[in-house]
Amino acid sequence: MELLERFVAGDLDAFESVFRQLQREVHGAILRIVRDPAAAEDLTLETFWRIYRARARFDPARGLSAWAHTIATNLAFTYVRGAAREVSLTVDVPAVSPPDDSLHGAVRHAVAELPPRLRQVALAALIEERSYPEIAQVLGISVEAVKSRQFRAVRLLRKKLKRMGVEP
Amino acid sequence: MNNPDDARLRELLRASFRQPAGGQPRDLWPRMLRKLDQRPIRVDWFDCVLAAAGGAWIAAFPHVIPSLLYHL
Repeated sequence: MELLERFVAGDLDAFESVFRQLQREVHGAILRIVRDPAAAEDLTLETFWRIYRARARFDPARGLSAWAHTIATNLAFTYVRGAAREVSLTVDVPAVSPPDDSLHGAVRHAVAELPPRLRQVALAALIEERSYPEIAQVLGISVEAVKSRQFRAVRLLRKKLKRMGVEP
Repeated sequence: MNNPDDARLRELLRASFRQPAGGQPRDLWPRMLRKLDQRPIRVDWFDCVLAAAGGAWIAAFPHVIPSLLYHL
């Protein structure tokens, strides 16, 4: 039996192999978003916990990496939105020309606020530089749909950044 | 994404999501195993219905409580 099939069947050794194969990639994807190693570790564990719980719904014919990546980035952006809400209670966000670090923070927050379908495409196309056909295959949509989502994501992102006083 | 504005946005995005230094994870498998062991207590819906029915029965016939306690 293949590794992924054994994993879907609930084999703990297979899950360990999957975990060890993907841990670095998942952790890296989360860390790029949350910027906090401790939080990234917790979210990595939560990602794999969700993967393990939902393993019966996983189709071994499709890549586990892409599935893990989607869960991981969604969790990370949810964390970023939550953290931003906490920070906004105590810190005044500068309206114009924030310094470098808060500029990048504003960009991450703006991406976190995009609708999940647009965010997924923006992340894959603009940040990870994946090709349109590759994104289309992973998401199960057409190349035209990927382009359309990217266009909408960029437009929305510009609007959000402008509201924060950032004009790229 | 071919005009200069788009290139600037792309560059800004990449810079904002660059991997921070020293971000290698420790071996998280032992923690994963502990998390797997901490399974939440799941109560079956049938058990809930049974408990609710028992509670309703006792509420409707409170005089059976002493005999119920006697037989426990």
